[in-house]
Amino acid sequence: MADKKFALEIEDLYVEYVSDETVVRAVNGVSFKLEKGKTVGLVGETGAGKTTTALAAMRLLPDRVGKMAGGSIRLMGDDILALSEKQMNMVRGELISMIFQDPMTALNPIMTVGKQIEESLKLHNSAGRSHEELKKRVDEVLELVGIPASRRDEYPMQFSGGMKQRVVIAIALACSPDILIADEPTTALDVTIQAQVLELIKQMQQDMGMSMLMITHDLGIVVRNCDEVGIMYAGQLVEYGTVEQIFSPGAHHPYTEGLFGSIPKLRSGQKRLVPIEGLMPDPTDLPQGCKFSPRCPHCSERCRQQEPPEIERDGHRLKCFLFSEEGTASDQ
Amino acid sequence: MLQYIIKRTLMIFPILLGVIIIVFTIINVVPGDPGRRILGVSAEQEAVDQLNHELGVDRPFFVRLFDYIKNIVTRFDFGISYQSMNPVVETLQLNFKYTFKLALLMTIGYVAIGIPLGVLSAVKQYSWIDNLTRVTSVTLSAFPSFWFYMMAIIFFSLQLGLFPSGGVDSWLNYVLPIGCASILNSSSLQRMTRTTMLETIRQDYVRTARAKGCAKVSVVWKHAFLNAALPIINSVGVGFAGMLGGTVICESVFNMPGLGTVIIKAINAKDVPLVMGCTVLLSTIFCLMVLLIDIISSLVDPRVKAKLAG
Repeated sequence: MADKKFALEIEDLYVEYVSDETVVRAVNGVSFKLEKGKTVGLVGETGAGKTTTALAAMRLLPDRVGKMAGGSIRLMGDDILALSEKQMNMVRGELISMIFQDPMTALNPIMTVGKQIEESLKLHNSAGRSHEELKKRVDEVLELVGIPASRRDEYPMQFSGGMKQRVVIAIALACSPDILIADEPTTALDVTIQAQVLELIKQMQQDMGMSMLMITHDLGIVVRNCDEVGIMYAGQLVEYGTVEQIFSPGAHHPYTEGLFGSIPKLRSGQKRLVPIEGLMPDPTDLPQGCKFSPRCPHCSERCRQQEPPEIERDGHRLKCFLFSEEGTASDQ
Repeated sequence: MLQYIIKRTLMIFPILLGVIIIVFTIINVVPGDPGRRILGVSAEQEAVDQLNHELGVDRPFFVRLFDYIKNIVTRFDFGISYQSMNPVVETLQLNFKYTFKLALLMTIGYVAIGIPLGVLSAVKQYSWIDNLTRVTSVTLSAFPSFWFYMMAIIFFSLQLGLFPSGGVDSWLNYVLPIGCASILNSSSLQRMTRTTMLETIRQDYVRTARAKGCAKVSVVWKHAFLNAALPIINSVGVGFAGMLGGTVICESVFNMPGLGTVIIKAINAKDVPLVMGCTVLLSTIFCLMVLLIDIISSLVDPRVKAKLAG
């Protein structure tokens, strides 16, 4: 039995998408622990394996194509691989919930929003609440996310994008889950709505005491919402640490440096942004050594041959040869 | 919505008027007169003229057209069949009963086979069961229906003696035609269901439902299938209306009475009142069916309702 301190523990997770011809290695050895009541952020480019990691934690990888090739996932101390599909249905929505990226498509267009929230409550109705009580709870949840209860019987098409995302949040939070996965919850929304929705999620988290896994590619969201951050690249966590460790100057993975280099800074006299050269490697044909080596400005011969080990200091983990020998950062 | 239904119901009348005028014109432009048809080539010209006069077909075209419409509107009289000299309404009533029963049972049959197979095929895409149903479906579509019916008769009636080979005496007579037609028609429905299901089953809202804790089976039917149902409802509805006039092959192979046979015979005999009667009946059914499809669709999908009502 694992430590009860953690809501979600992912250890050495490997996920593959298998088709007839190819094997896409989407997640390659990801490990992290989400402490109860805390927020962990996963940052990385599209295709880095962030969403796949989250789906694996929900055991919702696409049927037959996606499969966990290794590692373990524990929710509130329990190994989810040991659960039957039926037990897993009870876990989803009640213990762990997910908010999806695109609210435009995440809601069933032919069901009223009230019905969609109620469905979740009905599925996890171990208390045996009556129909009227469930209805009341639906209204409560709607009000909670800032939607008037009178709109219960409306369809998703009658809501704006931001309001739809509120409905998605309401569905996820209806049964007060212990863990919430927010998969780029604001990417599809316009900027003014983004702040509102994030504020709402944060507030809900505090009110309900939830633990949260926040997936994003926006470092600004991370610094405002997360306690710990994992930087993902090609299915690996190349760097992991507290927000302070990641955001303060010091020893960083070249990819993290690259990410920060591509954000405009208002005060420095910088003229142009520094992009990371090249593209993410093809996940069906990952490079042999360090996955970042083809794009890394500090790449050496060894990087191309060997997988760099993970070095840890005060919980700050790095996967790079630059820091492996000295045990400290060379450019600190 | 009620307003829409009333509007659409009223729209049926101008459509029917148009159909009557067009078909009446076409059928009257074709050469040959009913008197000659009925009495035969060897009959005296006087007798033919006499009969034509009695039937009223020697009057000018527009007079006849106007008269025809007037009789329908005022007395619900569709005239008298030239072949049997019975009122058209009677013939239609008698045959429609059989055809309606046949078409309804066939529709229920092919929906009951086609939809579950299509859904299963989509859910288990590329599995052996999907491959099997797809191959079977294409093979079935390649069979001519009359051949299929005859093979069924040879095997189940002549060899095994399980079912009668024709007639409408008992429910046993219906087993073979309905069984065969259901299997044959299910193949296209199964393929369509599979295609639309494959689209909806990958939608984000299906994943949302799974993330809520919905079991797979309920997600498939409640979320994916209902969203895929619109084209299926359309196709089944139109297919049913089509069957009412198009079961002629089945009727003739199994020697059953029905509208299809009546229509073919009437056209061959240039039995104008009967052809017209069938046309008006089938057009009315078709219009009502399309209306029914719209109503059902709007019950399933609020977006359709919004579009129709707006």
